Parts: sequence; C-alpha cells; structure tokens
Amino acid sequence: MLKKKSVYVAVLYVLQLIFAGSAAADVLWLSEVPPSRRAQTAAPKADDMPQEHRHEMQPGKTASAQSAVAQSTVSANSSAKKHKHGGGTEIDATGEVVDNTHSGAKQVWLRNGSEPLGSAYAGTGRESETLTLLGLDGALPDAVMKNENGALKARIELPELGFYNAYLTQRMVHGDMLHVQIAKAELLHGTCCAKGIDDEEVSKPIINANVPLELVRVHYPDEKLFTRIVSGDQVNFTVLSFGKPVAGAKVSMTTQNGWSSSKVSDAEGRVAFTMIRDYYTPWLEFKKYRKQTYLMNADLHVPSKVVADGVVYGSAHYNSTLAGSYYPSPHDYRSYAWGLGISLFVIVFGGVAIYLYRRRRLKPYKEVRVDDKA
Amino acid sequence: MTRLEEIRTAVNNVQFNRFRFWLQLFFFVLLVYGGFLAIDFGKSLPTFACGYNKEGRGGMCYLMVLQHQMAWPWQKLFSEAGLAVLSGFAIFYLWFIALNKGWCGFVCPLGTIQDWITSLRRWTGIRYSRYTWEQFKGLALIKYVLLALMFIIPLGIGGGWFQKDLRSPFCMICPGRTVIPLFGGDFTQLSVDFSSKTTMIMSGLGLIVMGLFFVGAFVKKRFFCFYCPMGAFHYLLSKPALLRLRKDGTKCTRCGDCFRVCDQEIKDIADDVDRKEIMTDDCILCMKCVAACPETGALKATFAGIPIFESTEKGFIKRMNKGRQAIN
Repeated sequence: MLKKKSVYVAVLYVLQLIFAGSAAADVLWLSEVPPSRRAQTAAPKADDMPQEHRHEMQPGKTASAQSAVAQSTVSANSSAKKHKHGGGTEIDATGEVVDNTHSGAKQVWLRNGSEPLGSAYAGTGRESETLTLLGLDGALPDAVMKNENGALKARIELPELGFYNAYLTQRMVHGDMLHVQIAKAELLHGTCCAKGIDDEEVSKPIINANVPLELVRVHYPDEKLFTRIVSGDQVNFTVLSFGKPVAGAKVSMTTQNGWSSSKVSDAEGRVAFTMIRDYYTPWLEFKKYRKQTYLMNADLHVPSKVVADGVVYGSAHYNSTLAGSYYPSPHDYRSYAWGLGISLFVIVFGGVAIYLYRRRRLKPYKEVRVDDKA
Repeated sequence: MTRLEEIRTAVNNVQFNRFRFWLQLFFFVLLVYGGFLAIDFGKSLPTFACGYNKEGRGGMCYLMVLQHQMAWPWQKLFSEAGLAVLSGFAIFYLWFIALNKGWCGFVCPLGTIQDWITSLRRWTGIRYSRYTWEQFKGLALIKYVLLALMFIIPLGIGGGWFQKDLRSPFCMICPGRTVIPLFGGDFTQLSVDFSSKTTMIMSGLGLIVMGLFFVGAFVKKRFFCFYCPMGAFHYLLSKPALLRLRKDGTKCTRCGDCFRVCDQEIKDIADDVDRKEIMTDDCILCMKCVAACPETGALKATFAGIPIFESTEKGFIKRMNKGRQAIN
C-alpha cells in the first residue's frame, strides 16, 4: 500500500514538473552576478513571483504533504561573520559584470530558473537562508543570505587565496520521496601575480563528502588561481554522491544565451562539455572581458529506500546546480598573423631603409691630383 | 701595498667588458628565469623585469604596477588605498637608490638584450650609427614625453577621461612586453588584439616598436634606452642615490675616449670639465667610460662616497693590450 502511494506521489511530482512548467522554476542556483541596476530599481515583476522557490506545496496537495515540507538544513546563524567592506561583484557602467577574482570579498545571490540570463533573483517571501562554506582546510563559518531589495544575498569573505565552495541545501518531502536540492557555488579568491604560492595545492577542487549530490568541476592540470575558461575549452565535471562517483546521473549545461546540452555521467561519474561560442556581437561592441555564466544541473533519482537524518524514505530525488563563468576565446580577437606581419614588415622595411640611407651617404672616391709644378 | 690597495688595484685593472657581460647575464637569468627557481624580488623593481613574463620573472617592473595604480578611480587613489601606491613607490625608491642608473647599465634585461644584439652586429662587421647633435637634442626629449603620458593617461582613466583599454599605456608599447616573454617560450604577446579599436591600435603600435627595437638596436647601441621613460624617471629621482659617477676635470685631457665608448653618445662626459657629478639623464651608468679613461682618477664610480672603480693608466693599458692581443 505504502509502495503504491509512493509511486503515485512520484508520478504526480514528475507530471507536475512537466506540465506545470515549473521544472525551470524549481531550480535554485547560486550566482555571483548581481541584479542589474535596472532590475534593482524597478518594481518586482509579476512574472517573477511564480518563479520564486517556495516551501509550500502546490494546490491540490494533502494537508499531510504540506506539513511534511522540511526546512532548510541549517538555520540562520546569528554569529555569522559580519562584513564592513563594500567589495564584491560589481556591474560596470556598460552593464558588464566586473571581474573581482582578485578580491576575497564575494557576494552570492540565490537565483531561481534554469537559464543564467532568465533566472529570477529569489527573494520574495524569504528573509534569510544559510550557506555552508567549505575551504581547502575544512569548513568555514556559515554565511547568512539576507534579503536585500527582494534578492537573497550573502557577503562572504574568503580568508586565503584559493577555491571555496558554498552550499545551500533545501529538502522537501513528497509523500515518502525525499527531494533534496543542493545549490553550489565555487568561489575563487584568485591572483594573477602573487609568487611563492603552491598553485597545484591551492587550485585543487574541494569535495564535500556530506552532500548527496555534487557537481565538481575538474580543474585543468595547469590551472592556477587566475585561469579563465574560454569558449572552445572542454570543461570536465565529476558527479559525486557523498564524495563517491555516480554513474548514470543526468547532467545538463546551459550557457548564458540559453544553449543547452545534456549528458549522462560515466562509470567514474565524469561528464565533459565543450564550451561553445555564443557571444556574437558587432565588432565595436565586442568586449573581451565579458564574463558570461554557464549553469550546470545534475539530477539523480534513487528509486530504492534512502535514509536521511534517521528517517527512511521510499525513494529520493537529488538535484545539484553549479554555476561558473567563461569568457570569449582569445582566438576570437587576437591575430598572430597580423602581429608577426607588422613586426616583420617594420624589421624588413627599417633594415632596407637604413641600408639605402647609408648607401646614399657614401661619397664616391674621387682622386684629386695636385700638380705641384703648376 | 696594503691588502685594501691590492684589491682596489685588482678592481681598477679588471677586464671590465668581460666582467660586465657576466654580471649582466647573471641578472638576466635572475629576472627572466628566476621565477622558475621561486625567486621573487617583488613588484617594485626599477628595471624592466617584465610582468608579462608570467612564469619566469624573478620580480616585476615597477612601471607596470604604477600605471595600474594610477588608473584607479580617483576616489580610491586619493583615499587610504593611496597608501599602497606610496608604499610601492617607497620600495621602488629604496631599490633604486642602491644602484642609481646602474639598474639600466647592469641589470635591465632589455638593455642586456640590446647589448647582445650589438655584439651580433659587431660580429657581422657592420658599422654602428650615431645621431647628429641636433638629432640627439631633439630625440632626447621623447623619454620625458613618454614619462608624462605614462602618468597622464592612467590618471585620466581613473578620472573617466579615457577608456580602460588604455590602461598601462607604456607597457602596451614597451618592447619588453613583446620581447622578454619570448625567452620564457611565451609568444602570446606577438599578436594584435582586435577586441577594440584602442587595443588594436596599442597592440599594433607595440609590435611596430618591437620591430624598431630590433632594427634600431642592431645599428645603434642601446637604441631603446635613449627613449626609455624609466631612465627619465630614474634621473629625476637620482639626487640621493648611492652609486654615482664622478669626474675630476683637472685630470681630464679631453682625449674623447669616454665619449667614443659611450653607448648613449653623451658629449658631456668628455667636454664638461667643471661638473663633478657627471651623470646625465641619458647615462645608463655602464661605467664603460671609466674603463676607457687613460687618466688616473679622472673618472670614478663611487658607492656612498667610497670609490669602487676608478680610471687608472695601468688599468687602461692592461685593457687596451688585451684588446690588441684579441686583434692579433
């Protein structure tokens, strides 16, 4: 009877995702891109409201299902570190995201949607959420996301150079199916210039063995603290569950302009995507430092029983998101042919010019005979 | 003869060109490949240890840092953050005071590369060029113009007058950016950046300057040093420097040997018998004039007032004989 009910709830949940058009709406992710000034100043759009992630169930659910909604895994932490600085991500006058890799002061916003550009800034109806932070040396104090102008934002101070992970975990229970959503951000306190840093050590990706589903970007062998992903690069990810590779997880990538691709993780949990070029603009408007966002989304359905916090559930659905940034490829705007051509032309032209100049100044030998007797 | 006198005699008689070659090579390796040995002298070096040589550099040219800082928004530049600019400048100044323009003559990797190109020219038997006096006077002003632009443009960026693409304007046209990374196997600077009109023009200009650098350095000794804003910056700050070039005009016969060996064609070194501090803005303190002077005590290099290398007749003859042996 219980099994029948759980199947019914699961089917209902999937149908709801498909037909209610809320598949996108229910994807939470952490973004380092601030709301644009226009969006900040404008009144909240009516369309934003349904996209907000809500703890209450959809109409039609039973009262018992309503009450089964779990709270965030970690409650607001009043002792969270305060930040007096005003650093963090900025948008410049042209509306482009200013790179703040060098800064240890980060700002993270909670967003809701499946596309980097179209996702709303989650905030309405939420006062605060808590981010769990993990560094190379272990856990950091939690960061509190607070509602500012209708968007949940956390200010995070990264103490040392290196990568850090921020996690926001949400749990819901549909019947006896556990639904866990993990929004993850990989934050970098980077440097292009500092010497004496063990890049290999501090550039290691961080793995969290306590989360049921995690997307880890596999860093490049020569990746340092200022490496940028550019269009054309292959980006590799590993899907992990409690720190162990997961095979068969569906992983999708969505680029800034909405291009999307889905793959399934292999036996070692690996999945690879080639970052496409999706930035086409007139030359005069081209910006080589245009920071674009890609969004990764991994889904894993566990049909068997799972135990979480001592409670047994009939099945589980895990969803994990991870956003990252990429830039236009230098191949789009750099030309070695022109560079070498100009240099060689100057060298050859300059050399010939000097040779001719010297030749012109040579005075031909003229013999002058002086007749002493004359 | 005391031990100290023996040392002084040995130094004054040294085969100076050979000594300088090895010293330059040492500094070149230190600043161009030192990064591979975890050597880092910081970001305030008063010489062209190019920051674009990302992997290998053993320190960083201060001009790059200075331009970046000058391009900060004025609100930031003239706030507490400006202390970072002052501290960077203080470190630069301490480095500079120690060697004065000896940074150019002995340490600068770009200067060393030009000396190697000169050696190549000498090996081919092609004669070198000199400026006329009128050309010299006119062209000598270029380094001050570049120095002024190096301050004005980044400050203008901070004030919102110029585009950010113009940040580090001197680095964009400096041959150090394009040439020095080549020694570390990095060829990325040999490209034209078409991402905007400004970067296209500046990167194109940088490659034109690189072409001129190779052609110029081949026919003219220390071609680029004559236009180098770092040299002008050095000269403006050189008053309290410890390493100095002094001349005793009473001992000078105005034979002109010093002028003939001067890579920078400084006439004052031979003509001026009145000034004791003979270093000019074009001087690179290479000390070749001291080594070529036949008059004992006419020219000398001092460090904190103590003579460390002095012209002597004996040293001159020894060096000339060595040259004659080489010819024979």
